[in-house]
Amino acid sequence: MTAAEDAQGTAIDKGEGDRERSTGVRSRIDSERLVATLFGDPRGLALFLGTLLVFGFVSRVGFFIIDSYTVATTLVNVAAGSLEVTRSPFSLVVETQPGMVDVGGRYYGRNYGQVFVAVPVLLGLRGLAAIAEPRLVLLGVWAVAGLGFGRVLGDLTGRPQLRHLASALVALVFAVGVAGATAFQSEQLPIVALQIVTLVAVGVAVVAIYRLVALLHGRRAGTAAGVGLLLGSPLAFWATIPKRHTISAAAIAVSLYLFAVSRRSGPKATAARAGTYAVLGLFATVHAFEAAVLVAVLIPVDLATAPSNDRRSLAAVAAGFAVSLLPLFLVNILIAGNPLKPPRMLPAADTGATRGGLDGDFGGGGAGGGGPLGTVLDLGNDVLQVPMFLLDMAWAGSATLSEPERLWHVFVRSGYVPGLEYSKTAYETVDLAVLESFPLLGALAWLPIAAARRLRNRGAGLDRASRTDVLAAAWTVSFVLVYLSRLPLHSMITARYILPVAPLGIYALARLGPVRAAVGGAPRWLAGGFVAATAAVLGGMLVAIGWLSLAVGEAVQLHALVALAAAAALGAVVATRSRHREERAVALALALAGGVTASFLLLSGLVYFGYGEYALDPARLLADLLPSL
Amino acid sequence: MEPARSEAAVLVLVAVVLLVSGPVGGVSFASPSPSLDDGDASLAVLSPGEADAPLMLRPGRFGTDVAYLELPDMVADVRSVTGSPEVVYEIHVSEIGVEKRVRQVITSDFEGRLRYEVDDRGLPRHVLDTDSYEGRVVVRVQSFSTSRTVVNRTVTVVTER
Repeated sequence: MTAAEDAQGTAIDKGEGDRERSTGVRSRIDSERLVATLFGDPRGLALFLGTLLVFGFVSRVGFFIIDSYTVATTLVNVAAGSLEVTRSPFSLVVETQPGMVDVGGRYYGRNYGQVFVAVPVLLGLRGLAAIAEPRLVLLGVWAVAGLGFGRVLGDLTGRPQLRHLASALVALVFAVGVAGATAFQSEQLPIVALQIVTLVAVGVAVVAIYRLVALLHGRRAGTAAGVGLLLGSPLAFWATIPKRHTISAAAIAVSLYLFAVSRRSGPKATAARAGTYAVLGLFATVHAFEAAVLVAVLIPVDLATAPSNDRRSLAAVAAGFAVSLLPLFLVNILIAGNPLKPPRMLPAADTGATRGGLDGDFGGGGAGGGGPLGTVLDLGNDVLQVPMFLLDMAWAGSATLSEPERLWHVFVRSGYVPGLEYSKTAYETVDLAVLESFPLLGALAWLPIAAARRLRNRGAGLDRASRTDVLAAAWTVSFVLVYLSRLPLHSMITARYILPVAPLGIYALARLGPVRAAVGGAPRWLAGGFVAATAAVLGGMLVAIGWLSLAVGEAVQLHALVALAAAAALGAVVATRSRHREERAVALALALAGGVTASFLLLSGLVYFGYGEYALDPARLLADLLPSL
Repeated sequence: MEPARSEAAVLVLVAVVLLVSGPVGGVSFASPSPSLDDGDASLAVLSPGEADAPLMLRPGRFGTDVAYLELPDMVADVRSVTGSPEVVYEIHVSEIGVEKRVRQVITSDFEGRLRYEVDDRGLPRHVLDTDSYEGRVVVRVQSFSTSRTVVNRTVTVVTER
């Protein structure tokens, strides 16, 4: 697909729309335009609905990590019209909830941007639960997503029988769910609302990566990238866990897509460029410090690679960014009385210490003198603290580069990591290294070869894709560096602090020649191999669990070893591949690595990690049939 | 049949069931979780049994480098349930900090085999340094009006290195 084709996408020519008089046709055109705007095209919509379908099915309602108590408590209060925390339905004690802050004896929560998005979802769920059994409401929402997915897939493939099949399967699951329905307490709906938000965030990230790769390399590559992010990366592990990480990933993916769109001249490019910043500005209300890292890197890369830095463009970008920051400033003023002081810079409710932006120590935060001068000094102090803190974290991260053992445990092999507080995970070694949870990254073995070729051709200048590469690489390095000194850490499971760069990892794979050649030259081997590998690893692990009586940590570590083997095989095949000859081998190696992760994601939901209760009873009944740990 | 019709049929089915399940229809599809109340039950415990082998404390595999205490499942035949009592299964190995308790409320319509599957318990590696420990398994039936111990037995925990 060319850039011009993408610019048009599936949008309908305006003149044609004007000529149509039929209401039905106009409605169809409107819906197609909506799909084009939000998802790029029907493939993007299929990826989005597929996300809801798969990970909505295996979702559990409960608290996987105690941080989620604070976010859920915040949501309950905001939904009742108060930023201040005065109700705590999930925990008897307010002040010990992680991230709860104390402002002069008043408690406030965290991740307000995430919570604001969840409020309408919660109100919708409560409305539906007022007219129907809450458990069946969840099942009904899933069923509608399933019907939508079947419809889009049937239309995409030109096989209407797929729509019949999807209807039959959805009806069957719904019937099983009704027959085996268990009671669901409406008090848990705030957790479900937050889970829907994080699940949708995964869908948004998947669609953004699809659109980005389709923009640069065509729809087939885009589809492979979208599926790769959804099922071949660890992102979806956190799909229904109320943490910020999937939202961070979505912000990065959407912002990178808009950045790529903006590397061409024209009004659309200027709007996209403003959007690149605006997305991060809005994301700052969820996590101001991660947004600050991303913006700090974006500004120089943007200025250096923009088609034009004329006053008009810069004014549009600045205006868009300023407006996007208003929600952050408003929340900060209402809570701290200072637009530049997000909740994370306020004293913790339990200890009184300032937690800091990136879950590290954060100095300062003391009040300045009174009067206008004191306010200005306070603001200046806060403005300076942020970059100083980020530089400090990045410096600490850089210092860890001289610690090979730490790097080994963070990026390659977890096993038993000395110094980790295993008492906090019941002595289960479930915290994986990056490569163990994301073996597709084994294909990055090609990166040095690609870099060497790029250096040889450096006279060619930077095209749109190469400029996007620069931002993706800079974001990856900076994001990893600011968190590296905190890793490895307990309860990370998939190195979750740096999980938000997972879309950038998939983007990097899509930019590698051997990977694209395999996707384009052997798509059936890739798709078939992926399904077979997922089924084989999933079945193999279930047999191993039953046969060897594995404990949770053992099962996860065995899965990790399989992932490392797949990553090594992929790296070897890619690095030793001769040109245009071995697409099938690369496709199969990619399929195996992706299948290992996909099976991990599914087994995590159904077997490995038990907490709370299944949102949908059919998933519970399916899990009951599988061997338990 | 047109695909759109089969989709519409399922949508109507979903909408109707949802409406019927709410205050308008008044039909309850969801079975509520039973809550503890007065009651009693007759229990014949099949596992853990007196002739069972000792509990094993073994090293973790696949690079885990921790220790695991293998905990036996509880299997019992339940009869003559009245009210809503609960069956409690406890395993204590105090020397290594293991205090495991599993419980489930049963109701008068329950009769037959009850099984509690218990996960292996992860522990720090150093617990393997001692050859054996002593523990206790307990199975009780209790309610607001009853507390009856069916099994209360000392068990030996043997270390495997």
